[in-house]
Amino acid sequence: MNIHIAGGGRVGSHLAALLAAENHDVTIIEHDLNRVEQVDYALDVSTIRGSATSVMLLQEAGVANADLFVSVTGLDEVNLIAAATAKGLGAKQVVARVDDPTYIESNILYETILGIDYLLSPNALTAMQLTRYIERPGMIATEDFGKGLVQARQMRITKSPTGNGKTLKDVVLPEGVLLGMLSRAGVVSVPHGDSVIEEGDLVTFVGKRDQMDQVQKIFQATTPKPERVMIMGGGSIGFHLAHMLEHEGRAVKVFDWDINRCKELAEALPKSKIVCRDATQRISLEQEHVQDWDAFVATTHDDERNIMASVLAKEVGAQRTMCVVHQPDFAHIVGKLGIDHAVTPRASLANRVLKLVHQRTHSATTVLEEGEVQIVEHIVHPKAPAVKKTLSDLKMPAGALVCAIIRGDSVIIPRGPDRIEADDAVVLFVSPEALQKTKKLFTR
Amino acid sequence: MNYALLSKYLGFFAGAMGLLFLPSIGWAMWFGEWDVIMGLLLASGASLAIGGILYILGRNADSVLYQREALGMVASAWFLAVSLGALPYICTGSLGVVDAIFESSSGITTTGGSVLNDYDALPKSVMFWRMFTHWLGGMGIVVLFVAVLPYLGAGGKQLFRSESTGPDPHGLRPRIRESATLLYRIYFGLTIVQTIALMATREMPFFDALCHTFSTLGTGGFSTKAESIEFYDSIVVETILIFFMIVASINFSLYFAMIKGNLKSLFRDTECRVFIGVLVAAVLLVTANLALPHARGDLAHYREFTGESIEQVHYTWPHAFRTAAFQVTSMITTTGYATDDYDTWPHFSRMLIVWLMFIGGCAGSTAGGMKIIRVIILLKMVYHRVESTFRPKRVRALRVGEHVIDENVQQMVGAFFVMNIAWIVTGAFVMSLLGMPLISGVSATVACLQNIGPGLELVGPHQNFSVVPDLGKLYLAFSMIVGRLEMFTITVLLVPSFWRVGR
Repeated sequence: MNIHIAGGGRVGSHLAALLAAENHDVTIIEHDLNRVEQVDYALDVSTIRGSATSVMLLQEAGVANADLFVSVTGLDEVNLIAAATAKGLGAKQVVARVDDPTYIESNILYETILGIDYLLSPNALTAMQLTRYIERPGMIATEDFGKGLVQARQMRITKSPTGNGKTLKDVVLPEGVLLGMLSRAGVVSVPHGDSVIEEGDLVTFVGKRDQMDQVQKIFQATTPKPERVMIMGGGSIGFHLAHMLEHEGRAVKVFDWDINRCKELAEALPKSKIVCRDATQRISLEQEHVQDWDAFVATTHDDERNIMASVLAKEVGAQRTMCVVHQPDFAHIVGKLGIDHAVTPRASLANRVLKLVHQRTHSATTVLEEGEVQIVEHIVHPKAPAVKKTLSDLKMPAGALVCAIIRGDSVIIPRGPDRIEADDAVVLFVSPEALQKTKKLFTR
Repeated sequence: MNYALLSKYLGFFAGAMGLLFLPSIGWAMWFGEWDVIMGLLLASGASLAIGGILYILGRNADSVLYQREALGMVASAWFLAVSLGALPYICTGSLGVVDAIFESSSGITTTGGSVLNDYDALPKSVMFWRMFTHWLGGMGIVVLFVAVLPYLGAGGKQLFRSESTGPDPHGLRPRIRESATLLYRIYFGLTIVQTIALMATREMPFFDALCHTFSTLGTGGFSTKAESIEFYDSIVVETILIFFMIVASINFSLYFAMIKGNLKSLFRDTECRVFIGVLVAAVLLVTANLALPHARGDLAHYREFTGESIEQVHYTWPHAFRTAAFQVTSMITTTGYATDDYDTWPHFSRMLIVWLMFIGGCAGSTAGGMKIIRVIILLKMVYHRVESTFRPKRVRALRVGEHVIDENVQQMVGAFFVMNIAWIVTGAFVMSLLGMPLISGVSATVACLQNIGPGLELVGPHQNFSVVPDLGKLYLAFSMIVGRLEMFTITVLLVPSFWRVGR
């Protein structure tokens, strides 16, 4: 696919890296010379230096032939104009990143008026991810495949059935469930019988949907749903989070040290308590009784402050702590500091866009973490190379693993001798590099 | 430095070289040269074996190719290619080791200077390899590697840039592997067209036409004949060669733009226009210089060195134009074909030839030299500095055509120029220590460093490099690689900290 990305910052370059790994033709438009050079050096994509709002530049860049145009600069208005212009020039699908709640709240209206296919906000997506994690502790993502017969769940392990000499083969998984991917400190691997699962690991399970709650019981300690959530930082993420939690009926307290921002928040969030103080000070946390609240979430734009405040909150007595980190390298180490969960805004947005890309070729898909883990579903074409072949005959590319076959209403968790038939739905784990090759096996 | 990864990729590379000997083996069978087939098979087998060993040594390497590894990879790939490329000469007993290395380096770097004295004694299959190296080296052996090997990702981009010519090389397509493939497709297309054109003249059989096509498009300069293009003495052949030498010296991305329907891109490109302008001006100047009797220079210097007496050649205007057009094109495109001994020309024309050697063709082509674009940037940089001495407050951007050249590129061009001079000075000293006379030594260095081929006097177009002492041949072979990779890639190898692990 021919994909143009406006903005080569954190979000843009991350997205470009993921798309380039999947062999798409990627062009980045960026006005800052240093960023252009950085991208040019690090990624196998082409770069154009200039403003993404310039119609001349977009025309010259060949946006008219783009299958997808994504505008992810730091400025909402630039993104809106760039995306609307690209659409006008003939780009097939356009996406704009916006962070201002004004645009997000009436996104459908804006989408219709401006002709933009999707308005996406990394901050709102991040807040949504945090809300989901608060609602269902330990659960990072769920995705249904095969019309709801099969479910993939990525969860954080809080109770490991292995250890003390017991390995995975001693654990009895419910029938029809496969343990697919194990991610520890950012390193993804496929676990085998002798593997040991540790607390804090991220594990992805795929299997029959009705068995998944059973899995959850084995690998997760039961924790009560947090009713009271403390949020540090009343910025865009903090606001969205408070807004969503308020909507769910949770008690919310928001810290922000800017009195003007606090006043705005107090107007916009009628049910939340707004406190104007610095949550990185021990005394603030103590006086606001952080130990009596169920969860503490640090959401400022400053990674170091988020991490330190979370550690401090834990120290003072917070039950569970979560934080937002913008630098993805930090996301894997926060577990070591006793922080329960970290969310990366750029990954939230990139994974959402990647999903849009995959939707054109796959019947269902999900992208986890920083894009290293992807689960896709293919409906097997009757003339595809894979038809009538057994899994052991089928030469799957390295980095791809078939984890479920759905035939009619039955789910098969496949082994070597199982055969693939036309019109089966096949659910696979794939690495970005293996994505294209795998696709060829199941399509014509 | 990630030596394991280097070893793994070089293993692939050496194996690929082994396969590239196969066409020569085919020709050996065609011509019935059964006595050299064993030698060629040995060369091929040796390359494959070396490749296998290197690959096994590095098989467990993790595959992230950083800038440092990319530079190390390109440099060592070229040294390896030159060494392996010498095997066909050595294994068939055609040349000694030093001569073989010189000939191999001269071929792959598309220099075209030769040590070959007896052209008829060289088996045709080995001759084919000799010409084929021009074709491979012209577009670049590592670019070929990038085109063939999948999953190099951004690392492939580093490789591509370390080998491509010009100050700011970038791909034609978003993905570098596609760019490399596309360049080779254009190159391949040109090869077919030129071979057919040369055969249509009926002056050349298929073998000669193909060989000269390799040599022209790589802007190399080897010929299958000792007399070079003078052998054919045909205006049609010369015209075809002039045309394709120019084609090979223009930025290949312009052809891509033309294929895409932008037919005017060739005429809009500043570098291309300047290139053609310089070429035409030089041809006219040399024509006039040759044809006007009073402008003829003194030839005494030449007799002093060779001891022979040279008869005065009188050029008519048409003859002068024909000679000048071919010879000037041959020199500015850094090909190095000869239809005439330009060393017998008047001083002014000889001088002009030397300067044309420096300038070279356009960026992104197969030509050597400094490249027109760098000369333009350098001159503009100097002009801006001069202007700033009397108009210090003036702020201006350096433009070439519509493109603004940013400071980073400007500095690289400046550094390139200084490095170029430094390598020439070093080479000149080495040559003089080995006993080469001044003009011969300097011109040999320049001709090798700028990948042209023939120089002046002892290494002039009617002489060859066999007079250079063995050490000198090896040094020149080395400087050809320095020049082909545009100084930086090899110079960086001389920085000790480049090699240390983890610094």
